Amino acid sequence: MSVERRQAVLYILLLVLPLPLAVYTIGLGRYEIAPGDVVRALADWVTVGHNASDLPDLAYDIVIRVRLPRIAAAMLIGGNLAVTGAAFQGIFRNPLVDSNILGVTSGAGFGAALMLLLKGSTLEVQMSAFFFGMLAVLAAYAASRLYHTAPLLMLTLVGIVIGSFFSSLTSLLKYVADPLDALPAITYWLMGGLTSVTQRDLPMLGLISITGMISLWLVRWRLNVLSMGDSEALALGLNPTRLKVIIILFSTLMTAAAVSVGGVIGWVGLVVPHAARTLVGPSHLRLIPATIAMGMVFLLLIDTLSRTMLPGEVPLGVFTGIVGAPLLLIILRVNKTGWK
Amino acid sequence: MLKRFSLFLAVIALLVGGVAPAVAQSGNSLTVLAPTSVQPVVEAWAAAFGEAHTDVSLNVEFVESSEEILSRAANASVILTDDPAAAPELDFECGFISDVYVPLPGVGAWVIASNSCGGSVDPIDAAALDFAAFIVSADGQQVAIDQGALPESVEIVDQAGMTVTIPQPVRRIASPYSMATFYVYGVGAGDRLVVAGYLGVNSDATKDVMRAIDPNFDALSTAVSTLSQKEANIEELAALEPDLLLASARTDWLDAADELGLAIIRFDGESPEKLKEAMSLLGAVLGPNAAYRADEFNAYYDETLANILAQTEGIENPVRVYFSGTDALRAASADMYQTMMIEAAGGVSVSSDLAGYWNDVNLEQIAVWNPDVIFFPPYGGASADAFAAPEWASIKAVQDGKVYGVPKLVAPWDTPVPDSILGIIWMAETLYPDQVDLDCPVEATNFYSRFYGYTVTESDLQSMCP
Amino acid sequence: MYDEAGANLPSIVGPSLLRAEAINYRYTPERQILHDVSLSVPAQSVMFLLGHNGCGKTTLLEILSGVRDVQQGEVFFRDEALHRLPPAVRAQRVGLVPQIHAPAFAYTVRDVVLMGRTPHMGFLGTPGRADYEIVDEAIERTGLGPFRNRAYTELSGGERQLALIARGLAQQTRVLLLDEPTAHLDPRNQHTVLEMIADLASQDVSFVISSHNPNSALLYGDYVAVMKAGHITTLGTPQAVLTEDVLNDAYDMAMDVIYEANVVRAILPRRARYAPRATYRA
Repeated sequence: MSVERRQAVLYILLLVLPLPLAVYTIGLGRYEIAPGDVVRALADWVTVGHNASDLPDLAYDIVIRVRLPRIAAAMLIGGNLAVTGAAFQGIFRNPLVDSNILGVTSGAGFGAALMLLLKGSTLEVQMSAFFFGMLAVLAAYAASRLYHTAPLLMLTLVGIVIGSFFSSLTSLLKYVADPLDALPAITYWLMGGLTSVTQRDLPMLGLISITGMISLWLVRWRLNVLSMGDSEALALGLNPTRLKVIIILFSTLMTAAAVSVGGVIGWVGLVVPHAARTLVGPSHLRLIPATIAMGMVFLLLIDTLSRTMLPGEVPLGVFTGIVGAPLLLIILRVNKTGWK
Repeated sequence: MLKRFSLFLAVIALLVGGVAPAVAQSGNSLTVLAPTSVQPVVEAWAAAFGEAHTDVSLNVEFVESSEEILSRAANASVILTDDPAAAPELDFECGFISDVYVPLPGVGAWVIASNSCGGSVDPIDAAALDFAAFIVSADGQQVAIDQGALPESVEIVDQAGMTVTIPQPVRRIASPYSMATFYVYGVGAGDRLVVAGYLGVNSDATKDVMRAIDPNFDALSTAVSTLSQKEANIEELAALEPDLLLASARTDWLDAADELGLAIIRFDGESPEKLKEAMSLLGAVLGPNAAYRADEFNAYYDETLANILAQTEGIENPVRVYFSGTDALRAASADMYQTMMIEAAGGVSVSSDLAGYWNDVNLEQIAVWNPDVIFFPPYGGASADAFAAPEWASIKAVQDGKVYGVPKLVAPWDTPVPDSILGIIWMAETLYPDQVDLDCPVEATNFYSRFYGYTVTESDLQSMCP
Repeated sequence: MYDEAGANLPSIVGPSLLRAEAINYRYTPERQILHDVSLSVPAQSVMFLLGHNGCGKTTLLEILSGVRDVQQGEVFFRDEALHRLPPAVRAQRVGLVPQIHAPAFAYTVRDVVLMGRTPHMGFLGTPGRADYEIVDEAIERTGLGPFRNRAYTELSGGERQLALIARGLAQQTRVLLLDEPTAHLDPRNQHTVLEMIADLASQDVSFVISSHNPNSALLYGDYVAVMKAGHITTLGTPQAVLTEDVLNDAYDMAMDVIYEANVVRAILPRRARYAPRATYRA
């Protein structure tokens, strides 16, 4: 019983961890702001709006317009990528996939590259990334319906094909892009980063992320059953195909929203669910909330390092890989019960 | 003996109207006065030119000294002397003094001038210009090589440290390196290009200017379907049979070009020294006129830079500048040309702690720097709009309204092209409008006329100068 | 032999719980897998399905469970047409226990058994206290108490089969269909599993079990249905039905039925020349 209690306490701590961490990281940054001033900026923001106290404009702007949106975006995107990774691992019954398996990230990468080449605004780049991310998965889904055997396997195969196709198109765009003009922008975008996140990026990202997280949280029990395979899910009274389509739809929306704001940030969807399984076990009842929380923490920590360590930022996608790959190896070594 | 006449000024003088009615009657007849020291070469040129231009009759006369040439100038139209300073003594009523120079080894600079007053479309002026163009062309160079006056090949060490032997003359230049294209125009060898990339020439306005500089612009920029630093259609390139390939040292496909046995000059590095070295390298391989013009440019660059530095050095509390890149949150590193330009203009680059190429930075870091002035380049997604976002509102430069886009006429002024000297002038005037005395419109007009043969318009100046 | 009309099955007694009527099933128009199959499963009984590979046993189980749609014919649970029920309701009536396999994730035995409660939860429901109590009881009934928090993937084959049966129990259906539950199990585990099934059947659940072992049917079955090429050829009690004629026909090979005091004790393949050695000599 004490083991279960200890696990329960750990679980609760895990769930609330993002909040104090977010509060703590608001105080961190290249620009030094006294903790008292950070609190005053937040208080101003919460109460009257703009700058009621005699806080300098610059300090207020940095806390409210720079750090707060970026921290929020890091948490939303981290939670997003992690939980969709867990959901995809569940429905594809494969611990080595993440939500990019159906090509959403590749599609979004192409969409962004295309708009960067056409010199679109930030919003247009985001919309294009989102649109092509969705388009890639819908194309994979539509194409997989042409085959009558093993729909999920077919979807995976077609998804990989479509993903590669869009990656090739992106390479083509990079190839025709002017090396002085669009090419650096595309390259940086593909590496991922939250450098230019503003308050204006948050409404859509927040809406889709929170809706998606709640949706996946609601079907968390069903993910357990789905992970046993279609015939068992069917025998236990579920409609696995419909359920998977819904989960894939939400996950794709979430991933596309995350990628459209933060660029391609790898490893989160792979590493975080594994780490969460090590801590709370494989059952999605706890895994889904834990994955959301840990995804938030993971990306928040990495992004905080990225924005505070050096004057020049380390691209986030590079950083998550550098941290994520060894972390995954450690988890694989430590964890003997996460999966078969 | 002839070497002691270190400078000869050759003047081909055409007598027109009341000055020389006999010649005027003969129509397109040119009287060439040249020193006997270069008699074989000039005779060979005249013969070759005559073959190609049967409508023009050339009358070459040789004289012993420059004094004699000057004394006969009234009856001729072109004076050839070893003293370019004597050119202003040619007090013509009309006509022109050409900016074509042919310094042959051991002979000196040649100036070609026309003393014809035949109206706005003067056939004698035109013929004189044709002759001038001929002697500096690859064909003219070939004639001088045949006469032993110029070497048959030139050996240079390029900016990647490779020793390259280039047979003379170079007739067909391929310039996939879009910055080097402007070096070629700068040394007056634009007519030898067979294919070229044009840095920054992507809008209708810049294309129109480029067409004015070189009527062949459209054909040259599309002569090979794929030609960039990353990739090239090698076969299409080979079909153009270039004698010389101008490439960045970072070009990916040079090994394949090597296989074809193409002579390649590799350019590398971003600094004033490297820019001047690049100009000299092209001068060394593109004939005496190009060498002369490269020296001219380098002297001009040094002189202009010294003039700027004289005014910006010692400015107290230098302005702190943030040079942003293709994105508002991308900073120029210490190693980049832009940083050197800012320093030459008397400013301080806030991001000079960074190394490498462009660096991603966040707004908080910019707040730490809190720059007085922001520059953004005329390429990529950069625009003043990015700095109008509310997040930027408390940054000093934005508050003071000091956000400026670097101009360009064709190539961006913040890249290591000849035009970049104007970029430094522009920066100095922008940073210190009250403290420096430079004249961007005059400098720009002179620069483009002198090095690109382009007459700057009023609207060009509007868009270029502060 | 089985009466073609299928209505009167003299050897089966008691009210039928699950009933299949005139099932025809084709995977492709040319390939008919079930021919006019009718079957009735009484309450509190164990019925074995025998037949060689590909005779249609698994397809029949899937149709009986409602997992596979019917093409022709109908399956009734009591008076309800099973295939017209919503999936969750259907899964409250009939349970299907698949062949054991290793899942992708190392759920605990309790997690696995808990999945049996899925049809009883609402659309977006999660397990509540009552579900856990039912699950713990099912775990106890199958003797898996000590393994409750162990990873399912670490169990032996027999323990996994028991866990899946416990999941079926937690599903609280009156009928459980088992697809070859003793395949790959050693004799002791086979016995444990089948004894458990016989014991549970005597309480409240009926079982339909597909098997390749006629001796299991003989020993643990109340009824046996013999299938061949998509037909049910014979249906009745093991003692009455498992004759040499039936078995020879079902398996296309000669079988010996061994009697002991007029009761069938064993079924063995017949070898042409069978001369057992008396002693072992290296």
